[in-house]
Amino acid sequence: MRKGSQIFTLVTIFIMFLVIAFPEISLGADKPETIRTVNILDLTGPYAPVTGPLAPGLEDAWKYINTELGGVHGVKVDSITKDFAGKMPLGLSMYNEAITMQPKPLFVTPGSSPLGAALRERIKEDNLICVTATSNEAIYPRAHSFGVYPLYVEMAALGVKYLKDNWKENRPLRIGIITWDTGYGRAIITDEFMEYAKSIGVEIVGTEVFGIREADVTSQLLRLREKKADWLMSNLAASGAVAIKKGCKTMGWDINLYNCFVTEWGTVNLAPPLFQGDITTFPVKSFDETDDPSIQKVTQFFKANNRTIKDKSVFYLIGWQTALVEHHVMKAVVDKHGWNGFNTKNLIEELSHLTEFKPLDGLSEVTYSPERYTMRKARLYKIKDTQVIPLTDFLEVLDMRPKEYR
Amino acid sequence: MWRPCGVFDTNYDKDQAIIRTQRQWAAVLGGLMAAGLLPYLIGGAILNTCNLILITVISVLGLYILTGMTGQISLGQTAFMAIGAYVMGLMVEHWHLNFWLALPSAMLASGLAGLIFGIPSLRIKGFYLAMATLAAQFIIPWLIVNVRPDLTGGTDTLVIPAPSIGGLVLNTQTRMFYLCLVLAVAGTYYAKNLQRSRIGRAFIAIRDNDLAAESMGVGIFRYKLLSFFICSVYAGLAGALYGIWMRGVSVEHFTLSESIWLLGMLIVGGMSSPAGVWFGAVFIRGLDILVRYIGPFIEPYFSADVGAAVKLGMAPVVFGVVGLLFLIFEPKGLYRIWERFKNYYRLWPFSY
Repeated sequence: MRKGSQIFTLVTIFIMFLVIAFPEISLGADKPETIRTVNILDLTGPYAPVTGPLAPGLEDAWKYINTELGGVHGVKVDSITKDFAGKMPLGLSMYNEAITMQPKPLFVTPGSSPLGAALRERIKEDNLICVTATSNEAIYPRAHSFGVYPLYVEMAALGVKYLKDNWKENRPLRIGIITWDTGYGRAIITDEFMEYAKSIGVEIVGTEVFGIREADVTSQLLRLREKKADWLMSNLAASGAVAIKKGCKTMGWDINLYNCFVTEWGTVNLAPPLFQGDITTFPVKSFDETDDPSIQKVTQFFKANNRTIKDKSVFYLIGWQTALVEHHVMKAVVDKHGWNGFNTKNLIEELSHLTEFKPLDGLSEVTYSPERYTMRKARLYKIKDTQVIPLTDFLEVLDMRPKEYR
Repeated sequence: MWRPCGVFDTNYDKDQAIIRTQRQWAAVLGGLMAAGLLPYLIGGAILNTCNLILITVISVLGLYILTGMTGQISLGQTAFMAIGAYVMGLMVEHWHLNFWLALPSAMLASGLAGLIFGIPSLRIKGFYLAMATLAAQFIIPWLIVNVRPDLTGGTDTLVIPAPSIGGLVLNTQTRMFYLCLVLAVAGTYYAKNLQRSRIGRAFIAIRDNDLAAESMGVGIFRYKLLSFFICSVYAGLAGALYGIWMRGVSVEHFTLSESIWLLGMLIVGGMSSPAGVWFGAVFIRGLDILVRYIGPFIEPYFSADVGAAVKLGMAPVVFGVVGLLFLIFEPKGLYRIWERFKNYYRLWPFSY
């Protein structure tokens, strides 16, 4: 055997050894005096530009809770974030790693709804609580999973109603749907939504889908223009919204986009002139409401922790909301039942009866009920220059759950 | 079959055995015992990775039969896995069928799909066949999303409940590990045996020279299709296991890049033996974990933007470089290195 081959063999064996040894080394040390939450987020995968800021949001919020609010009755909360890079097997692996941690986590936050859906039953079996991105499959049939915003289709209905109420012409409003060909993108195309649009006199003139990596969507737009759509509607983020608006500009089609969830700072800053007058929905206040005390508090931590422009996102704010809701519920359970009653059953009981809880006195309004594990209120926003300006106050969304789960 | 000097067969059974020496028996039994104890020795995350490796092994074994033995190529292996996963999901979730009925159905459905996409193999070879099988990677997900989305969930996740085998619910990593282990070992045994059968010899004849094989009376079309069928059956089995392991499937799980990496595992491990499949799957999946853990350590040595880019781009770069190095320096893969390693120590302390 040649020397080179021997070295190659030894290096290979060494690599295999490291592979087996490293995960063990990486496991966190035991902290029995702490309460643990685990966030399994897509920080480097396809949805990273959208959901990535959830990580700094959660980190800053827990820092605020631990330092300024004293944790949960003096017990610090240890929030661990893991990057599953959009790879489902990796997400599952991280979940399995999480449930073997000591202390065992109480809350798990999967940063994508497909992962939330895949983990839904597992989280129930492991007696944890899931706070997840909100798709039908991630929440229903109800298990232990709560949505961090209303169902996409509920926000869609809210926006369509707004557009209808503000429609000035003497003919029905025509909307063309153009969205990503993914579970997230298609979440607004449901029978319930179509029936609702019809019932309020809105005509859905066409439904077009495109791939998440497609940059040219002019063919789809041409078909919607032929059908004389007055508004475009979508459920996508960043590059998807840019593709639609660039396509419209190329075609010389002056039309606005209602992007249910979500057009926000990261997207607008890519090309501000494209998005002027567009509308979107989300469940928290806007970074641009600089006079609002809740936004001031968030901004204070945002600056103090040297967050960058890419972290200025709805998901950063949702990270705060998530942490504050979990903190409120944990505190309430300890108040009611003491530390002896600090368990999943009581936490779920408390969470499912949470009514109009306002994190930071108004960042959002969170209400759950034993029947609906998704948020009830969201707000409509309009894009003006590089700002996301509120159009309405927090409005109650319609119940658009799939019929079989009502 | 090479054996150490002085080991002779004394009857036909011994001559035909797959495991031929006492040391081999000891290694196999020891390995199986160690594997059996593994869930009690390692943590949840590593066990999870072991399950992924076992599922991957099953899928790559299919490619070993198609590419390694028959010389055909498929870039649609994960699409066939998707069929297996969805058929399993539909049977368990919608029709509440028994696991033992759902599993062969998933394998058969994938096998039949493989037959369809294998038809072009009669007329085209190499690069063109790769392009033809690539079609599976686009057509199958499209069909899943657009035909009967009420059943498949379309682009949404099809959540699969944990099936039970004789009252034992497959809802833990440990139980899944044993199931995957048994099926991966059985799959390896079958692949190894197939190599020595009439069918296997026909496959190898086609791989070495299809015209010569045909002139000797080997039905090329039949055997090529059979190879595609068996390869897809393996993919279907792997897909079905993936579905019940993940407890949910979505078309987003079965990507082209994953298909390419399954092929990459076969190349890195070695196409000439099922053992190479195991080496390749363990090495590439392990490398994936290693890169993930090394990334954060390397990141601070660069500026913020460059560091983030290095961390993001490290996995594809490392995989690309590893693949390239193997193709240049050891095209026969890790299995060949293992063979050389064994031969070296068999002769040790003599150099040859």
